Amino acid sequence: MKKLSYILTLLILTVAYSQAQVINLTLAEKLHSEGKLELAKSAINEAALNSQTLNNPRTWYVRLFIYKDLFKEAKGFKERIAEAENNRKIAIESGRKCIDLDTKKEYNKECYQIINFLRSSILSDGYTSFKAKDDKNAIRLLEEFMLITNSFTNTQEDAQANFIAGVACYRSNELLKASNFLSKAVMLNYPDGALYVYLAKVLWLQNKQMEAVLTLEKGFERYPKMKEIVSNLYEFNKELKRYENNRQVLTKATVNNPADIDYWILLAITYEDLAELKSDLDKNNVLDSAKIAYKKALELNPNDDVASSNLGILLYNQGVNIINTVSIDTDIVGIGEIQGKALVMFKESLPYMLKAFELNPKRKETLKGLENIYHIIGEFDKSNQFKLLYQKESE
Amino acid sequence: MPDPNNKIRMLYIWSCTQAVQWPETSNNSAEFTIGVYGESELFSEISTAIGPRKVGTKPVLVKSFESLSKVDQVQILYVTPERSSDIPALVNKFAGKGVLIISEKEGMAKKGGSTINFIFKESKLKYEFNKSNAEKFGLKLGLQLATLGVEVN
Repeated sequence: MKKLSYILTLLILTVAYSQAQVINLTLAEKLHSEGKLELAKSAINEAALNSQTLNNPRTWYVRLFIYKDLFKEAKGFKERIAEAENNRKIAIESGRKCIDLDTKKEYNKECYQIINFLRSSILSDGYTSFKAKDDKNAIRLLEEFMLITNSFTNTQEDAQANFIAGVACYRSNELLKASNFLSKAVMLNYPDGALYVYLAKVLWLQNKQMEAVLTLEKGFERYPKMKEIVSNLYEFNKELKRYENNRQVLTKATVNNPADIDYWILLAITYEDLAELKSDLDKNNVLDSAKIAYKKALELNPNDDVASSNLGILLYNQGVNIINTVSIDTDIVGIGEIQGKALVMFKESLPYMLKAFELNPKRKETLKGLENIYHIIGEFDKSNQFKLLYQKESE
Repeated sequence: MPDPNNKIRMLYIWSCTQAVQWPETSNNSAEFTIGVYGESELFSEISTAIGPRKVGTKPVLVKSFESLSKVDQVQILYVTPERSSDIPALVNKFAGKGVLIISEKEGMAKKGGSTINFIFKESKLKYEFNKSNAEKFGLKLGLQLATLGVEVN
């Protein structure tokens, strides 16, 4: 009898205890629905620790909701950011646990929705830090975001996170990480041409010059009208003396954007770069192409001092080149003829140079050009005036 | 940036080696010497372009002179504009000795001065010449040189 009484007591206690745990879960739900989040948190954490409710997906489902709301509540206060982030982390862990346990798929859909919401909020916080140039925090948040992404893939957000993290790492000089993030963003087709620019800059800094150029070339194929890609590609190619590649890129750029003066000027400068590689005899043919490009630029804006000055200097150089290519065995008649041809160039050059001077009297290249041109045609007083102005600007 | 007109000066000077007749007396040296009196980039231009060549059978020697006292016997002497005031002294020193003095300052080829003087005419580097000055040095100017330059007396 005594033994039976003991067994009954044990049974009652066991049922009572197990009911108490179920009560904790029910209580947590009730408290949550009443907005008593802190009390709901205590109740659900007890339920989450107990073997009776530990493997019940609903426990984790409720915990996900409670912590999601705790996160939202704390997020409203600047001083509670860390607490908010911790709540978000627990909410996501709870949601994942619920999904693992939910063999009947009762809660899966909602769990995914909330986890996605929370994950997006991490991306959003990362972006806010990024915009505020708090790159360290941005990287931390985005890395956290990407860890969750492994299970909850959303390509568009993944791509964005990798892009932002990549730029933040670039700005923090963490080049290897930047390169990895940005490469991933390229793989995920992040739809922003700036991605190619940043990745190329990172690769360039890592001494992977050709990879940098190829990246920009890919970017140019995808975003043929994006100026930043063209200008960076131009700079990198120029640095590597890949002038012919620059000619091809800029020719396409002028076709794509015929009204953009900058492309015409860069194309002209590229022809001048190409001319430098030619023998004196072939130089002027290439410079003729540069001349056409500068004239196109001036058609678009007759008051562009750079185009005007550069064209003036180019014509002057063509004149000088005519003189430089004359053979020593030229007779006196021939010397006169050569001077005549060169003079045509010098006279064509002068109005462009003077216009450039009028538009920008302090541009050193223009001042030097005018000094040289007046000198070569024997107007030494004027040449000296520009020499003095040049020296003044060089001080 | 080098003055491109130095190339023109050099070409004219090289033409002179073909178009001027020097007296036999000045022909004793083993080299044909071209001197530049005064500091000028023309020295480098001449050294590079004419230095490796020959005038007739004689190799060309290019010399640079910094002071009047150091200027010695040459066949052609270019005097920079800054040293033009020394031209009367040079004329006295080299009269009858077969030296073609080339100057570059207005009025320098007038009577008693240099034989050839570079000038700017119609925005081009040209030259004027003085036949009587040439004769004073025992030089004869070729027809082409005389026809295409500006004659002064």
